[in-house]
Amino acid sequence: MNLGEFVLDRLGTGAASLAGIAFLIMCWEQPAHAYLDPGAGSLILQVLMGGLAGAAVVGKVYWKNLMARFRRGGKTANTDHGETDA
Amino acid sequence: MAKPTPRSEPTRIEGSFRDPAGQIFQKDGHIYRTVNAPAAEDFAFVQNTDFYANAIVEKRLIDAQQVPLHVLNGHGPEASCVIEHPRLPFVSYPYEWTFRMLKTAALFHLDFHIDALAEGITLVDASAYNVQFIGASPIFIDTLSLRRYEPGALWTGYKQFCDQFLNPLLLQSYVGLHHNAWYRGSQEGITAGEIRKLLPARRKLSRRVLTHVTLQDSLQKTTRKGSGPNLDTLQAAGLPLPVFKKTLAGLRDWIAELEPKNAGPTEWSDYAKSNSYAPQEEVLKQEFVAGFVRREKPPQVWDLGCNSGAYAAVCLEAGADYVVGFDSDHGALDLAYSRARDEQLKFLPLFLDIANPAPSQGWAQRERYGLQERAGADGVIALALIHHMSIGRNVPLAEAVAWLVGLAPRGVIEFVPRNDPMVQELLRFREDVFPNYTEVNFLQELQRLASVERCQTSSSTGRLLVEFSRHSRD
Repeated sequence: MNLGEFVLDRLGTGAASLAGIAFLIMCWEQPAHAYLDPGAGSLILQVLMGGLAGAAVVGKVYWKNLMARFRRGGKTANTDHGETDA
Repeated sequence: MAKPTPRSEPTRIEGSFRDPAGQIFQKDGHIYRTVNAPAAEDFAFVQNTDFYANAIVEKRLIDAQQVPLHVLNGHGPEASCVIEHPRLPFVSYPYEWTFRMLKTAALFHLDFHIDALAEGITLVDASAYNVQFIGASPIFIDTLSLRRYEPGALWTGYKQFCDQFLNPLLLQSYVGLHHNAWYRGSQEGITAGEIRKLLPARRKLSRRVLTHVTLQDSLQKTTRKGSGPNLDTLQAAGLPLPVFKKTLAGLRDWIAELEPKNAGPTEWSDYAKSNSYAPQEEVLKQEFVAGFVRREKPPQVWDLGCNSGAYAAVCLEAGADYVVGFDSDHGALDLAYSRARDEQLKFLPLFLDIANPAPSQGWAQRERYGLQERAGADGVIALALIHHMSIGRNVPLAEAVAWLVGLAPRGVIEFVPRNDPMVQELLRFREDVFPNYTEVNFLQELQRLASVERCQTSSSTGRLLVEFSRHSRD
Protein backbone atom coordinates (compact mmCIF):
# COMPACT_ATOMS: atom_id res chain seq x y z
CA MET A 1 0.00 0.00 0.00
CA ASN A 2 1.51 3.30 -1.02
CA LEU A 3 1.11 6.52 0.95
CA GLY A 4 -1.80 7.77 -1.15
CA GLU A 5 -3.70 4.52 -0.71
CA PHE A 6 -2.98 4.54 3.00
CA VAL A 7 -4.38 8.06 3.36
CA LEU A 8 -7.48 7.15 1.37
CA ASP A 9 -7.95 3.98 3.38
CA ARG A 10 -7.44 5.80 6.66
CA LEU A 11 -9.57 8.82 5.98
CA GLY A 12 -12.03 8.03 3.19
CA THR A 13 -12.25 9.97 -0.03
CA GLY A 14 -14.03 13.03 1.42
CA ALA A 15 -11.43 13.51 4.12
CA ALA A 16 -8.63 12.78 1.66
CA SER A 17 -9.89 15.66 -0.47
CA LEU A 18 -9.90 17.80 2.64
CA ALA A 19 -6.35 16.66 3.35
CA GLY A 20 -5.44 17.71 -0.17
CA ILE A 21 -6.96 21.15 0.30
CA ALA A 22 -5.22 21.45 3.67
CA PHE A 23 -1.90 20.48 2.09
CA LEU A 24 -2.27 23.12 -0.63
CA ILE A 25 -3.20 25.76 1.92
CA MET A 26 -0.33 24.75 4.20
CA CYS A 27 2.03 25.53 1.31
CA TRP A 28 0.85 29.13 1.62
CA GLU A 29 1.51 29.38 5.32
CA GLN A 30 3.76 32.01 6.78
CA PRO A 31 4.04 33.52 10.24
CA ALA A 32 0.71 35.13 11.06
CA HIS A 33 0.71 38.90 10.91
CA ALA A 34 0.13 40.61 14.21
CA TYR A 35 -2.12 43.25 12.67
CA LEU A 36 -4.67 40.74 11.50
CA ASP A 37 -7.50 39.62 13.67
CA PRO A 38 -6.58 36.21 15.06
CA GLY A 39 -10.09 35.02 14.19
CA ALA A 40 -9.59 35.54 10.45
CA GLY A 41 -8.61 31.92 9.81
CA SER A 42 -11.70 30.60 11.57
CA LEU A 43 -13.97 32.85 9.48
CA ILE A 44 -12.35 31.83 6.19
CA LEU A 45 -12.67 28.19 7.23
CA GLN A 46 -16.39 28.58 7.82
CA VAL A 47 -16.90 30.04 4.37
CA LEU A 48 -14.98 27.09 2.90
CA MET A 49 -17.12 24.69 4.91
CA GLY A 50 -20.16 26.42 3.48
CA GLY A 51 -19.63 24.65 0.18
CA LEU A 52 -18.60 25.39 -3.37
CA ALA A 53 -20.01 28.91 -3.46
CA GLY A 54 -17.99 29.92 -0.42
CA ALA A 55 -14.90 28.13 -1.67
CA ALA A 56 -15.25 30.02 -4.96
CA VAL A 57 -15.39 33.37 -3.14
CA VAL A 58 -12.30 32.61 -1.07
CA GLY A 59 -10.53 30.92 -3.96
CA LYS A 60 -11.05 33.97 -6.16
CA VAL A 61 -9.35 36.22 -3.63
CA TYR A 62 -6.39 33.88 -3.26
CA TRP A 63 -6.18 33.50 -7.07
CA LYS A 64 -6.01 37.25 -7.46
CA ASN A 65 -3.26 37.36 -4.85
CA LEU A 66 -1.36 34.66 -6.72
CA MET A 67 -1.63 36.55 -9.99
CA ALA A 68 -0.52 39.72 -8.26
CA ARG A 69 2.59 37.89 -7.02
CA PHE A 70 3.53 36.87 -10.52
CA ARG A 71 2.94 40.38 -11.80
CA ARG A 72 5.35 41.64 -9.16
CA GLY A 73 7.99 39.30 -10.48
CA GLY A 74 7.69 36.62 -7.81
CA LYS A 75 7.82 38.93 -4.85
CA THR A 76 5.56 37.70 -2.11
CA ALA A 77 2.79 39.96 -0.93
CA ASN A 78 4.25 40.19 2.52
CA THR A 79 7.67 41.45 1.59
CA ASP A 80 6.56 45.02 2.02
CA HIS A 81 5.83 44.71 5.69
CA GLY A 82 7.75 43.38 8.59
CA GLU A 83 9.00 44.21 12.03
CA THR A 84 9.43 47.86 11.09
CA ASP A 85 5.72 48.36 10.52
CA ALA A 86 4.27 50.86 12.92
CA MET B 1 -17.51 38.22 41.24
CA ALA B 2 -16.34 39.55 44.56
CA LYS B 3 -18.44 39.53 47.69
CA PRO B 4 -20.73 42.54 48.04
CA THR B 5 -19.33 45.60 49.71
CA PRO B 6 -21.53 47.29 52.28
CA ARG B 7 -22.37 50.43 50.34
CA SER B 8 -25.24 51.61 48.22
CA GLU B 9 -23.23 52.92 45.22
CA PRO B 10 -23.09 50.39 42.38
CA THR B 11 -19.68 49.14 41.31
CA ARG B 12 -18.89 47.62 37.94
CA ILE B 13 -17.80 43.99 37.80
CA GLU B 14 -14.53 44.49 35.96
CA GLY B 15 -14.74 41.27 33.96
CA SER B 16 -17.62 42.72 31.92
CA PHE B 17 -15.73 45.70 30.46
CA ARG B 18 -15.27 44.12 27.04
CA ASP B 19 -18.93 43.88 26.14
CA PRO B 20 -20.33 46.98 24.39
CA ALA B 21 -23.81 45.46 24.69
CA GLY B 22 -23.87 45.95 28.44
CA GLN B 23 -21.96 45.70 31.70
CA ILE B 24 -22.47 44.06 35.06
CA PHE B 25 -22.77 46.04 38.27
CA GLN B 26 -23.22 44.99 41.83
CA LYS B 27 -24.92 46.96 44.53
CA ASP B 28 -25.78 45.83 48.05
CA GLY B 29 -25.23 42.22 47.05
CA HIS B 30 -27.50 42.48 43.99
CA ILE B 31 -26.24 41.81 40.47
CA TYR B 32 -27.42 44.10 37.67
CA ARG B 33 -26.76 44.09 33.94
CA THR B 34 -27.18 47.12 31.74
CA VAL B 35 -28.59 46.57 28.27
CA ASN B 36 -27.18 49.22 25.97
CA ALA B 37 -28.95 50.60 22.91
CA PRO B 38 -27.22 48.50 20.20
CA ALA B 39 -28.28 45.27 21.93
CA ALA B 40 -31.69 46.40 23.20
CA GLU B 41 -33.61 45.45 20.07
CA ASP B 42 -32.08 41.98 19.91
CA PHE B 43 -32.68 41.48 23.62
CA ALA B 44 -36.35 42.39 23.23
CA PHE B 45 -36.61 39.84 20.41
CA VAL B 46 -34.85 37.10 22.39
CA GLN B 47 -36.90 37.79 25.53
CA ASN B 48 -40.12 37.08 23.65
CA THR B 49 -39.10 33.66 22.41
CA ASP B 50 -40.11 30.31 23.91
CA PHE B 51 -36.45 29.34 23.90
CA TYR B 52 -35.58 32.15 26.32
CA ALA B 53 -38.48 31.42 28.69
CA ASN B 54 -37.87 27.67 28.65
CA ALA B 55 -34.11 28.05 29.13
CA ILE B 56 -34.73 30.04 32.31
CA VAL B 57 -37.30 27.56 33.62
CA GLU B 58 -34.95 24.66 32.86
CA LYS B 59 -32.13 26.56 34.63
CA ARG B 60 -29.97 26.51 31.50
CA LEU B 61 -29.96 30.32 31.39
CA ILE B 62 -29.66 32.65 34.33
CA ASP B 63 -32.87 34.41 35.29
CA ALA B 64 -33.24 38.11 34.48
CA GLN B 65 -35.85 40.51 35.81
CA GLN B 66 -36.17 44.03 34.48
CA VAL B 67 -35.69 46.71 37.16
CA PRO B 68 -35.99 50.52 36.99
CA LEU B 69 -33.02 52.36 35.46
CA HIS B 70 -32.56 54.42 38.62
CA VAL B 71 -31.33 51.45 40.69
CA LEU B 72 -27.88 52.16 39.25
CA ASN B 73 -27.91 55.83 40.34
CA GLY B 74 -26.72 57.03 36.95
CA HIS B 75 -24.00 54.40 36.54
CA GLY B 76 -24.09 52.81 33.11
CA PRO B 77 -25.54 55.93 31.45
CA GLU B 78 -25.79 54.23 28.04
CA ALA B 79 -28.29 51.71 29.36
CA SER B 80 -31.62 51.30 27.59
CA CYS B 81 -32.79 49.07 30.38
CA VAL B 82 -31.41 47.29 33.44
CA ILE B 83 -31.98 43.68 34.41
CA GLU B 84 -31.24 41.94 37.68
CA HIS B 85 -29.71 38.46 37.87
CA PRO B 86 -29.71 36.18 40.89
CA ARG B 87 -26.33 36.02 42.60
CA LEU B 88 -24.31 32.88 41.91
CA PRO B 89 -23.14 31.00 45.00
CA PHE B 90 -19.56 31.01 43.69
CA VAL B 91 -17.95 32.11 40.41
CA SER B 92 -15.37 29.65 39.10
CA TYR B 93 -13.13 29.75 36.06
CA PRO B 94 -12.25 27.12 33.43
CA TYR B 95 -8.72 26.82 34.78
CA GLU B 96 -10.24 25.65 38.05
CA TRP B 97 -12.33 22.95 36.36
CA THR B 98 -11.35 19.37 35.71
CA PHE B 99 -11.36 17.82 32.25
CA ARG B 100 -14.81 16.40 32.93
CA MET B 101 -16.18 19.79 33.97
CA LEU B 102 -14.71 21.53 30.93
CA LYS B 103 -16.16 18.79 28.74
CA THR B 104 -19.55 19.16 30.44
CA ALA B 105 -19.41 22.93 29.88
CA ALA B 106 -18.41 22.47 26.22
CA LEU B 107 -21.26 20.06 25.49
CA PHE B 108 -23.65 22.31 27.37
CA HIS B 109 -22.54 25.30 25.31
CA LEU B 110 -23.01 23.45 22.01
CA ASP B 111 -26.42 22.04 22.99
CA PHE B 112 -27.51 25.49 24.09
CA HIS B 113 -26.43 27.00 20.78
CA ILE B 114 -28.03 24.20 18.71
CA ASP B 115 -31.35 24.63 20.54
CA ALA B 116 -31.15 28.42 20.22
CA LEU B 117 -30.59 28.22 16.46
CA ALA B 118 -33.73 26.11 16.12
CA GLU B 119 -35.64 29.18 17.30
CA GLY B 120 -33.81 31.80 15.30
CA ILE B 121 -31.32 32.79 18.00
CA THR B 122 -27.54 32.59 17.90
CA LEU B 123 -24.68 33.22 20.33
CA VAL B 124 -22.30 36.01 19.39
CA ASP B 125 -19.42 34.55 21.37
CA ALA B 126 -18.31 31.29 22.93
CA SER B 127 -16.49 32.31 26.07
CA ALA B 128 -16.04 29.49 28.57
CA TYR B 129 -16.37 32.14 31.28
CA ASN B 130 -20.01 32.54 30.25
CA VAL B 131 -20.71 29.07 31.59
CA GLN B 132 -20.83 28.74 35.34
CA PHE B 133 -21.57 25.80 37.60
CA ILE B 134 -24.18 25.68 40.33
CA GLY B 135 -23.24 22.44 42.00
CA ALA B 136 -22.52 20.10 39.08
CA SER B 137 -25.02 21.81 36.76
CA PRO B 138 -23.78 24.24 34.13
CA ILE B 139 -25.72 27.44 33.53
CA PHE B 140 -25.27 30.12 30.85
CA ILE B 141 -24.86 33.53 32.47
CA ASP B 142 -24.40 36.00 29.62
CA THR B 143 -27.92 36.94 28.57
CA LEU B 144 -26.66 39.46 26.01
CA SER B 145 -24.70 36.84 24.07
CA LEU B 146 -28.06 35.72 22.71
CA ARG B 147 -28.91 37.54 19.49
CA ARG B 148 -31.35 37.23 16.64
CA TYR B 149 -29.91 34.89 13.98
CA GLU B 150 -29.57 36.43 10.52
CA PRO B 151 -29.69 33.85 7.71
CA GLY B 152 -26.21 33.02 6.47
CA ALA B 153 -24.47 34.65 9.44
CA LEU B 154 -21.03 33.30 10.33
CA TRP B 155 -20.35 31.68 13.72
CA THR B 156 -18.40 34.56 15.24
CA GLY B 157 -17.57 32.53 18.34
CA TYR B 158 -16.00 29.63 16.43
CA LYS B 159 -12.37 30.46 17.17
CA GLN B 160 -13.21 31.28 20.78
CA PHE B 161 -15.00 27.96 21.17
CA CYS B 162 -11.97 26.10 19.83
CA ASP B 163 -9.52 28.08 21.98
CA GLN B 164 -11.50 27.93 25.20
CA PHE B 165 -13.16 24.52 25.01
CA LEU B 166 -11.97 22.23 22.23
CA ASN B 167 -8.19 22.72 22.26
CA PRO B 168 -7.78 22.48 26.08
CA LEU B 169 -9.78 19.23 25.95
CA LEU B 170 -7.57 17.94 23.12
CA LEU B 171 -4.51 18.79 25.21
CA GLN B 172 -5.63 16.34 27.85
CA SER B 173 -7.26 13.76 25.61
CA TYR B 174 -4.63 13.52 22.88
CA VAL B 175 -1.48 14.78 24.59
CA GLY B 176 -2.12 13.76 28.20
CA LEU B 177 -1.56 17.14 29.86
CA HIS B 178 -3.99 18.94 32.15
CA HIS B 179 -5.24 22.23 30.75
CA ASN B 180 -5.27 24.13 34.06
CA ALA B 181 -1.81 25.70 34.27
CA TRP B 182 -1.72 26.75 30.61
CA TYR B 183 -5.27 28.07 30.70
CA ARG B 184 -4.59 30.04 33.85
CA GLY B 185 -1.53 31.56 32.22
CA SER B 186 -3.10 32.49 28.91
CA GLN B 187 -6.60 33.10 30.31
CA GLU B 188 -8.10 32.84 26.82
CA GLY B 189 -7.37 29.15 26.31
CA ILE B 190 -5.14 27.41 23.76
CA THR B 191 -4.98 28.44 20.10
CA ALA B 192 -5.14 26.13 17.08
CA GLY B 193 -1.55 27.04 16.26
CA GLU B 194 -0.38 26.02 19.72
CA ILE B 195 -2.25 22.72 19.98
CA ARG B 196 -1.26 21.83 16.42
CA LYS B 197 2.40 21.81 17.42
CA LEU B 198 1.71 19.34 20.22
CA LEU B 199 -0.66 16.81 18.67
CA PRO B 200 0.83 13.42 17.76
CA ALA B 201 1.17 12.81 13.99
CA ARG B 202 -1.47 10.07 13.91
CA ARG B 203 -4.04 12.44 15.42
CA LYS B 204 -3.33 14.97 12.69
CA LEU B 205 -4.61 12.51 10.11
CA SER B 206 -8.11 12.64 11.49
CA ARG B 207 -10.67 14.62 9.55
CA ARG B 208 -11.75 16.51 12.67
CA VAL B 209 -8.24 17.60 13.65
CA LEU B 210 -7.50 18.45 10.04
CA THR B 211 -10.55 20.70 9.87
CA HIS B 212 -10.79 22.38 13.25
CA VAL B 213 -7.09 22.57 14.14
CA THR B 214 -4.79 22.28 11.11
CA LEU B 215 -6.91 24.02 8.51
CA GLN B 216 -8.03 26.74 10.88
CA ASP B 217 -4.43 27.50 11.80
CA SER B 218 -3.23 27.23 8.21
CA LEU B 219 -5.87 29.64 6.95
CA GLN B 220 -4.93 32.10 9.66
CA LYS B 221 -1.36 31.91 8.45
CA THR B 222 -2.31 32.50 4.83
CA THR B 223 -3.83 35.86 5.66
CA ARG B 224 -1.55 38.73 4.88
CA LYS B 225 -1.69 42.38 5.55
CA GLY B 226 -3.58 44.19 2.81
CA SER B 227 -4.53 41.02 0.94
CA GLY B 228 -6.82 38.02 1.24
CA PRO B 229 -10.52 38.14 1.95
CA ASN B 230 -11.88 40.73 4.33
CA LEU B 231 -14.83 40.50 6.68
CA ASP B 232 -17.33 41.93 4.18
CA THR B 233 -16.36 39.35 1.57
CA LEU B 234 -16.66 36.53 4.05
CA GLN B 235 -19.96 37.73 5.46
CA ALA B 236 -21.36 38.08 1.96
CA ALA B 237 -20.38 34.48 1.21
CA GLY B 238 -21.87 33.44 4.56
CA LEU B 239 -22.37 30.11 6.29
CA PRO B 240 -25.58 28.28 5.35
CA LEU B 241 -27.67 27.34 8.39
CA PRO B 242 -27.57 23.57 7.73
CA VAL B 243 -23.76 23.72 7.61
CA PHE B 244 -23.70 25.83 10.79
CA LYS B 245 -25.86 23.27 12.59
CA LYS B 246 -23.83 20.38 11.21
CA THR B 247 -20.62 22.00 12.42
CA LEU B 248 -22.01 22.42 15.94
CA ALA B 249 -23.36 18.85 15.94
CA GLY B 250 -20.07 17.51 14.60
CA LEU B 251 -18.10 19.23 17.35
CA ARG B 252 -20.59 17.89 19.87
CA ASP B 253 -20.11 14.31 18.66
CA TRP B 254 -16.35 14.71 18.77
CA ILE B 255 -16.17 16.23 22.23
CA ALA B 256 -18.61 13.64 23.61
CA GLU B 257 -16.08 10.95 22.61
CA LEU B 258 -13.07 12.62 24.24
CA GLU B 259 -11.69 11.03 27.39
CA PRO B 260 -8.60 11.93 29.39
CA LYS B 261 -5.51 10.17 28.06
CA ASN B 262 -4.09 7.42 30.26
CA ALA B 263 -7.11 7.45 32.54
CA GLY B 264 -9.03 4.27 31.95
CA PRO B 265 -12.55 3.74 33.19
CA THR B 266 -11.30 2.04 36.36
CA GLU B 267 -9.73 5.26 37.59
CA TRP B 268 -13.09 6.97 37.36
CA SER B 269 -14.96 4.01 38.79
CA ASP B 270 -17.89 4.45 41.08
CA TYR B 271 -16.77 6.33 44.18
CA ALA B 272 -19.29 4.38 46.26
CA LYS B 273 -17.21 1.24 45.76
CA SER B 274 -14.14 2.85 47.21
CA ASN B 275 -16.10 4.26 50.13
CA SER B 276 -18.47 1.39 50.82
CA TYR B 277 -17.04 0.81 54.29
CA ALA B 278 -16.48 3.71 56.65
CA PRO B 279 -14.21 2.78 59.55
CA GLN B 280 -15.19 3.84 63.04
CA GLU B 281 -12.72 6.70 63.00
CA GLU B 282 -14.27 7.98 59.82
CA VAL B 283 -17.73 7.88 61.38
CA LEU B 284 -16.56 9.89 64.40
CA LYS B 285 -14.91 12.43 62.13
CA GLN B 286 -18.07 12.78 60.07
CA GLU B 287 -20.08 13.30 63.25
CA PHE B 288 -17.66 16.00 64.43
CA VAL B 289 -17.98 17.90 61.12
CA ALA B 290 -21.76 17.43 61.01
CA GLY B 291 -22.00 18.72 64.59
CA PHE B 292 -20.12 21.87 63.61
CA VAL B 293 -22.46 22.54 60.68
CA ARG B 294 -25.62 21.76 62.65
CA ARG B 295 -24.63 24.12 65.44
CA GLU B 296 -23.12 27.01 63.49
CA LYS B 297 -25.33 26.72 60.39
CA PRO B 298 -22.80 28.20 57.91
CA PRO B 299 -24.67 28.75 54.61
CA GLN B 300 -21.55 28.34 52.45
CA VAL B 301 -18.77 25.98 53.47
CA TRP B 302 -15.38 25.67 51.79
CA ASP B 303 -13.90 22.18 51.96
CA LEU B 304 -10.16 22.46 51.40
CA GLY B 305 -8.64 19.17 50.34
CA CYS B 306 -12.13 17.88 49.56
CA ASN B 307 -10.96 14.61 47.98
CA SER B 308 -13.98 12.81 46.54
CA GLY B 309 -16.43 15.02 48.42
CA ALA B 310 -17.48 12.73 51.28
CA TYR B 311 -17.30 15.54 53.85
CA ALA B 312 -18.92 18.03 51.51
CA ALA B 313 -21.87 15.63 51.44
CA VAL B 314 -21.77 15.47 55.26
CA CYS B 315 -21.91 19.29 55.47
CA LEU B 316 -24.86 19.47 53.08
CA GLU B 317 -26.66 16.70 54.94
CA ALA B 318 -26.11 18.63 58.17
CA GLY B 319 -27.73 21.76 56.74
CA ALA B 320 -25.17 23.77 54.75
CA ASP B 321 -26.66 25.43 51.65
CA TYR B 322 -23.63 25.15 49.40
CA VAL B 323 -20.15 23.64 49.54
CA VAL B 324 -17.20 24.66 47.38
CA GLY B 325 -14.54 21.97 47.47
CA PHE B 326 -10.90 22.34 46.49
CA ASP B 327 -8.31 19.72 45.72
CA SER B 328 -5.23 19.31 43.56
CA ASP B 329 -5.88 15.68 42.63
CA HIS B 330 -7.73 15.45 39.34
CA GLY B 331 -8.78 11.85 39.96
CA ALA B 332 -10.33 12.75 43.31
CA LEU B 333 -11.98 15.82 41.80
CA ASP B 334 -13.57 13.76 39.06
CA LEU B 335 -15.01 11.45 41.69
CA ALA B 336 -16.22 14.50 43.59
CA TYR B 337 -17.85 15.93 40.47
CA SER B 338 -19.52 12.58 39.76
CA ARG B 339 -20.82 12.53 43.32
CA ALA B 340 -22.19 16.08 43.02
CA ARG B 341 -23.84 15.27 39.68
CA ASP B 342 -25.25 11.85 40.57
CA GLU B 343 -26.54 12.88 43.98
CA GLN B 344 -27.55 16.36 42.75
CA LEU B 345 -25.60 18.01 45.55
CA LYS B 346 -25.07 21.75 45.86
CA PHE B 347 -21.37 20.97 45.79
CA LEU B 348 -18.83 22.51 43.41
CA PRO B 349 -15.43 20.75 43.38
CA LEU B 350 -12.57 22.80 41.93
CA PHE B 351 -8.89 22.39 41.17
CA LEU B 352 -6.61 24.28 43.52
CA ASP B 353 -2.91 24.18 44.24
CA ILE B 354 -3.11 25.19 47.87
CA ALA B 355 0.30 26.90 47.78
CA ASN B 356 -0.49 28.74 44.57
CA PRO B 357 -4.18 29.74 44.41
CA ALA B 358 -5.63 31.44 41.34
CA PRO B 359 -4.56 35.11 41.26
CA SER B 360 -6.49 38.18 40.18
CA GLN B 361 -5.59 38.59 36.53
CA GLY B 362 -6.58 39.80 33.10
CA TRP B 363 -6.91 43.45 32.16
CA ALA B 364 -5.65 45.67 34.98
CA GLN B 365 -5.59 42.47 37.05
CA ARG B 366 -9.27 42.92 37.76
CA GLU B 367 -10.85 40.86 35.01
CA ARG B 368 -10.80 37.49 36.79
CA TYR B 369 -10.75 37.42 40.54
CA GLY B 370 -8.22 35.56 42.62
CA LEU B 371 -9.33 33.02 45.17
CA GLN B 372 -8.74 35.50 47.99
CA GLU B 373 -10.94 38.11 46.28
CA ARG B 374 -13.71 35.53 45.98
CA ALA B 375 -13.35 34.39 49.57
CA GLY B 376 -16.36 34.82 51.77
CA ALA B 377 -17.21 31.38 53.06
CA ASP B 378 -19.22 31.17 56.25
CA GLY B 379 -17.39 28.05 57.33
CA VAL B 380 -14.24 26.22 56.34
CA ILE B 381 -13.16 22.64 56.83
CA ALA B 382 -9.57 21.55 56.27
CA LEU B 383 -9.29 17.88 57.14
CA ALA B 384 -5.87 16.25 57.00
CA LEU B 385 -4.56 19.13 54.91
CA ILE B 386 -2.25 21.14 57.11
CA HIS B 387 0.67 18.67 56.85
CA HIS B 388 0.51 19.02 53.05
CA MET B 389 0.84 22.79 53.47
CA SER B 390 3.49 22.87 56.18
CA ILE B 391 5.58 19.83 55.36
CA GLY B 392 4.62 19.15 51.73
CA ARG B 393 4.98 22.77 50.61
CA ASN B 394 7.15 24.31 53.34
CA VAL B 395 4.53 26.88 54.40
CA PRO B 396 5.38 27.88 57.99
CA LEU B 397 2.80 26.40 60.38
CA ALA B 398 1.77 29.83 61.70
CA GLU B 399 1.11 31.09 58.17
CA ALA B 400 -0.82 27.98 57.20
CA VAL B 401 -3.06 28.34 60.27
CA ALA B 402 -3.55 32.07 59.66
CA TRP B 403 -4.49 31.50 56.02
CA LEU B 404 -7.08 28.86 56.88
CA VAL B 405 -8.58 30.93 59.70
CA GLY B 406 -8.68 33.94 57.37
CA LEU B 407 -10.96 32.15 54.93
CA ALA B 408 -14.00 31.91 57.20
CA PRO B 409 -15.07 33.05 60.68
CA ARG B 410 -15.40 29.49 61.91
CA GLY B 411 -14.45 26.03 60.89
CA VAL B 412 -12.82 22.69 61.56
CA ILE B 413 -9.13 21.91 61.07
CA GLU B 414 -7.66 18.46 61.47
CA PHE B 415 -4.07 18.37 62.67
CA VAL B 416 -2.03 15.37 61.52
CA PRO B 417 0.89 14.66 63.87
CA ARG B 418 4.42 13.91 62.78
CA ASN B 419 4.21 10.19 63.65
CA ASP B 420 1.20 9.68 61.38
CA PRO B 421 2.04 7.39 58.43
CA MET B 422 0.93 10.07 55.95
CA VAL B 423 3.37 12.60 57.41
CA GLN B 424 6.10 9.97 57.47
CA GLU B 425 5.39 9.35 53.79
CA LEU B 426 5.87 13.06 53.07
CA LEU B 427 9.17 12.96 54.93
CA ARG B 428 10.42 9.78 53.30
CA PHE B 429 12.70 11.42 50.78
CA ARG B 430 13.48 14.66 52.50
CA GLU B 431 15.20 16.01 55.53
CA ASP B 432 12.90 16.79 58.43
CA VAL B 433 13.43 20.53 58.77
CA PHE B 434 10.11 21.12 60.46
CA PRO B 435 10.82 21.15 64.20
CA ASN B 436 7.95 23.61 64.75
CA TYR B 437 5.40 21.24 63.28
CA THR B 438 3.86 20.08 66.57
CA GLU B 439 0.37 19.89 67.97
CA VAL B 440 1.30 22.34 70.74
CA ASN B 441 2.49 24.93 68.23
CA PHE B 442 -0.54 24.33 66.05
CA LEU B 443 -2.95 24.98 68.93
CA GLN B 444 -0.93 27.96 70.08
CA GLU B 445 -1.05 29.57 66.63
CA LEU B 446 -4.73 28.79 66.27
CA GLN B 447 -5.56 30.30 69.65
CA ARG B 448 -3.82 33.53 68.77
CA LEU B 449 -6.45 34.06 66.08
CA ALA B 450 -9.45 32.06 67.20
CA SER B 451 -11.17 30.39 70.11
CA VAL B 452 -10.98 26.63 70.21
CA GLU B 453 -14.57 25.48 70.61
CA ARG B 454 -14.10 21.70 70.60
CA CYS B 455 -11.30 19.16 70.20
CA GLN B 456 -11.43 15.47 69.49
CA THR B 457 -8.78 12.90 68.71
CA SER B 458 -9.75 11.43 65.37
CA SER B 459 -7.34 8.52 64.88
CA SER B 460 -5.21 6.02 66.70
CA THR B 461 -2.15 7.90 65.37
CA GLY B 462 -3.24 10.99 67.30
CA ARG B 463 -4.86 13.15 64.63
CA LEU B 464 -6.72 16.01 66.26
CA LEU B 465 -9.96 17.62 65.11
CA VAL B 466 -10.38 21.22 66.27
CA GLU B 467 -13.40 23.42 65.82
CA PHE B 468 -12.52 27.10 65.93
CA SER B 469 -14.30 30.41 66.02
CA ARG B 470 -12.24 33.35 64.77
CA HIS B 471 -11.67 36.28 67.13
CA SER B 472 -13.66 39.33 66.13
CA ARG B 473 -11.67 41.63 63.84
CA ASP B 474 -13.31 44.82 65.21
